[in-house]
Amino acid sequence: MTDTEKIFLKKSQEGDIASFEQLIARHQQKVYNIAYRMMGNEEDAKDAAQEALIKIYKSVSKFRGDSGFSTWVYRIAINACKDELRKKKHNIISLDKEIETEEGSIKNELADQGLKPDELVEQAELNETIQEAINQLPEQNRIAIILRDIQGFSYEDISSTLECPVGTVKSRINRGRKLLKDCLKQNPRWSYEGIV
Amino acid sequence: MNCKQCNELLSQYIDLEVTPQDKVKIDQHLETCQACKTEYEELKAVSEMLKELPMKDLPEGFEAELHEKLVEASKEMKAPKPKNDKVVQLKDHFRRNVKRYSLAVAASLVVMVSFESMNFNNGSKMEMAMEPSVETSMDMAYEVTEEAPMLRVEESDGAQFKSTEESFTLELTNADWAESQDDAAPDFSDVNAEELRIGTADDQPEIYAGGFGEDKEAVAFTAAPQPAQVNRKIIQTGYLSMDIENYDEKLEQIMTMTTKMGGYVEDMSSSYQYGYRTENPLKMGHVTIRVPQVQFHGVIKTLDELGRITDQNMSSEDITHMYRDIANEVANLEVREAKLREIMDKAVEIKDVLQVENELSRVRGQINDMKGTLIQWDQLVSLSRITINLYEVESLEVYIEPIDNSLLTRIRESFINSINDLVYSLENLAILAVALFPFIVGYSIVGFIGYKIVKRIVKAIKKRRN
Repeated sequence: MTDTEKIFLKKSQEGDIASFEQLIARHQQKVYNIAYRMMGNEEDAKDAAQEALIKIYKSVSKFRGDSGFSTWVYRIAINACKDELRKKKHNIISLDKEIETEEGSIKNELADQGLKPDELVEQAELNETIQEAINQLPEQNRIAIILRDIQGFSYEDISSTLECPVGTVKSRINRGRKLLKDCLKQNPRWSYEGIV
Repeated sequence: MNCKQCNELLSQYIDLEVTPQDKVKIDQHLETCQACKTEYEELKAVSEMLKELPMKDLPEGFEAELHEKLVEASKEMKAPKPKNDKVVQLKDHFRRNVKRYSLAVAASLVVMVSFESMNFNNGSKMEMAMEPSVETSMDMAYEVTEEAPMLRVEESDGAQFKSTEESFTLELTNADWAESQDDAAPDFSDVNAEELRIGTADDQPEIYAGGFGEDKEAVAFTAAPQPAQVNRKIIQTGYLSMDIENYDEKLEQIMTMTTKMGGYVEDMSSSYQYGYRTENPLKMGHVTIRVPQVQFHGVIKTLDELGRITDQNMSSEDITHMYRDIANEVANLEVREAKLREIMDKAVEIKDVLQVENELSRVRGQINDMKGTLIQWDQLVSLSRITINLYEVESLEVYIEPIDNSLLTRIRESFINSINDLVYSLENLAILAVALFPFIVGYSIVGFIGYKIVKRIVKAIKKRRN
């Protein structure tokens, strides 16, 4: 942590919003990305990320610095996502529920997102496939994989973020990758080099 | 290094988090074992793919929105801590939902009055009875809303709080919300307050909408058959990972047990852990079973006896509220359907018939949808889902008593070492004997000759003396 950050931290602890915003400027994109991979869509990710950042703001005065600031931030972010996921389970959304209007009711229809002969679209589709596979992982393995492969954390960092032994992290990553591989293998375009 | 050990280290190997010794061993193993090599390449591909996923930019307006929320949070934090949390919570809760409560009170009054009028009047007089009742309830609603700000201002007045609480309770009782009230009464903890809020927020406006909409009578019928469900609807799920011996046998046992208990296997898959060509092919797989909720813990216990549970998660989800909401709505719609049929019978003109028919089919569709959801929930509730990940191991014992095992090995090793040492020392002795042989022979000849000479000299001296 640099000296400037320490000053920002101190001011944030006193409740200064501007300092807090400076303090988290470096982290918020990561927080959002972790949330995005955890939740699986942008809307929920935004809510979860903001929820997490508010929680961080509210409890920053309790931060004593026994762990690294970033570790602490990501720990709260992950816990916030877990909470949101738990809440989310309750909501069942119908994709074609009828919407009532004055003239009667109309069907809520989703736009057809068919194939377009375009590489960008293909890349986006591939990313979607991967995200779907990630969504299917058990929560603990998903978290470990997100931190390791997508965010590039070291095993040590993950261990202190999740407050669990390195051995556990190792096995969660190993297991997560295997499950992910099995899931992606069901995709017809899979080959040894990945999906082509 | 065998395939199993190698497989466990592969991910660390990819992440360069293995010790140099292990790395050498894995390198060697991968050169010889095609199955592990494939596994390694696939895992690496997965890891690479994940690394290439693009970082998402923050959505537009993210920071601005966050800033607003921060300002709000900061205000909340700066506000002086209230002395009596429970009362303040209740009051805050009331303040937030003043409109809802007043509407709820109004709606429930409509229900009560109309219900009574139903009892005393027959169908033809009912409409007349309804009109004034709606008016009264509107007035009531207005009054309650007016009263609320007063309560807000006089915060320190205990009597006022009491009255808040009273109106709060009144509303609950009227809306047939007895169950929630029971929950809330002993302790107005955060959770309960929120639960109540959710419950009322979702339910009451609905009744209101029905009540003041085109079909005023519907509400009178609707609120009456509100189901008083005491038993909670809870969906229970479990997730287990376990190590087992004899994969096929144990899997069979799990499936038989499931069917015996009146459940069924929802999903199952098995595969070999490292391919079937390895010397001792082991299997892995998962099975998802659905068992009656009452058996849930029994099943877990039985599973525990089949092998070693390495990971265990359980969760339950209470859907009582949602269930009740939908059940109410269904009741509401059914009343509407009955009403529509009545109208249908009276309708003469084709235009009217068609219109009513349209409406009827729409209502019917909605009822079907919701009933479908309810049935699905009932199934989820009555049958708990348990997902079991199975890993076959050669022997569970190895993992259970690693200390003893290594002790035995150590004893054996040291015994063999001693024997080896003994043999070695005997060998050395033999070598020494052979090596010393020439010296012994040489020295003994010299000694013998010397002895003879000395003996002769001694003899010669004795003769001379004699």
